[in-house]
Amino acid sequence: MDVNGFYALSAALAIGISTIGPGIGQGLASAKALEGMARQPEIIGDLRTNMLICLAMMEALAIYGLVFAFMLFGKIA
Amino acid sequence: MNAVLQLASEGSFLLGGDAMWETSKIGFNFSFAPGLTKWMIVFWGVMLFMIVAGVIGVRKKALVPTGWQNFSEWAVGGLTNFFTKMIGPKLTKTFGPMLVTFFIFILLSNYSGMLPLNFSTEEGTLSLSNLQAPTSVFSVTAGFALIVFCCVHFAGFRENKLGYFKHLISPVVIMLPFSIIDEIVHPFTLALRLFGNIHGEETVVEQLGTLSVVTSGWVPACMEILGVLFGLIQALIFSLLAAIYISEAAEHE
Repeated sequence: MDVNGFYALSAALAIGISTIGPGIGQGLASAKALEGMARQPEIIGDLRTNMLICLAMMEALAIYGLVFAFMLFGKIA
Repeated sequence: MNAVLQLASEGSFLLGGDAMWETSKIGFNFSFAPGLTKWMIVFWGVMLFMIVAGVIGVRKKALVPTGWQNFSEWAVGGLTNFFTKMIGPKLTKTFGPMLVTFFIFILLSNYSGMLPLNFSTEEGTLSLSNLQAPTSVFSVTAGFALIVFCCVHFAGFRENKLGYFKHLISPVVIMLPFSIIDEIVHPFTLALRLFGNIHGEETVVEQLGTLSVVTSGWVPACMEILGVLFGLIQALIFSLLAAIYISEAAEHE
């Protein structure tokens, strides 16, 4: 495998591995938020906004991986 | 035919073909060299649209609004109410217009990436592809985040005067370097999140289009429909997080 192959592999690993944690985290967060919404429909608006903020915070981790994948992908000659 | 191609190539310069000054692949370009890029034209287009829409909205102010004025008042009023609920009326009075503008601008920028207006004349044939959304360039989102960074500290100073610095060393002095890192990381993640999401979505659409002949039409189209939702959520997240950072800085003891 030449250098380009390693770049491609590391780009794939960067985005692949970095999505695992945020995926689990976002699943747990949205499950709990939906549970709360089902129990107390009167605070759905507040819960939705807060859930979106939390999801965005977790999303940032996956986005770091994505950015690194792009940077590595750009190195492929 | 040649005249048409000539016109199309000029149009390609205007609407996002190859520019005089090509950016790097993902826009990590901090050069100050003068020049036009694809996304700058789109950026100006979105700006122009917003200015014209705003001027039309307030040109003939009626007590009972109809048509475009009604829509503008609904949009701006609704967003202002949303931020008022989030950060309180006092901060909304100062930063509300900025946050609403951020929301509308980022929303329109994200959606501008779906307009198939990118004329290009490769190999003599006229082809259309999607425009490049300005928010899929890191320089643009970093600029947005820089504005938010300045506003956060302006709000903190205005509300707490010099006592604002105390939050850096609370609860103990050892936290100082971590607090400083925190202050820098906040706007950085703000910029990276928007850039990564929009750029990633555009790249996915582009790559799906080249996957195979059978799926090249409808699979990217499905992804674009998802992109409508993502664009809205990212615009909301950006303005919401900016609002929260501002209110956090302003509320310090």
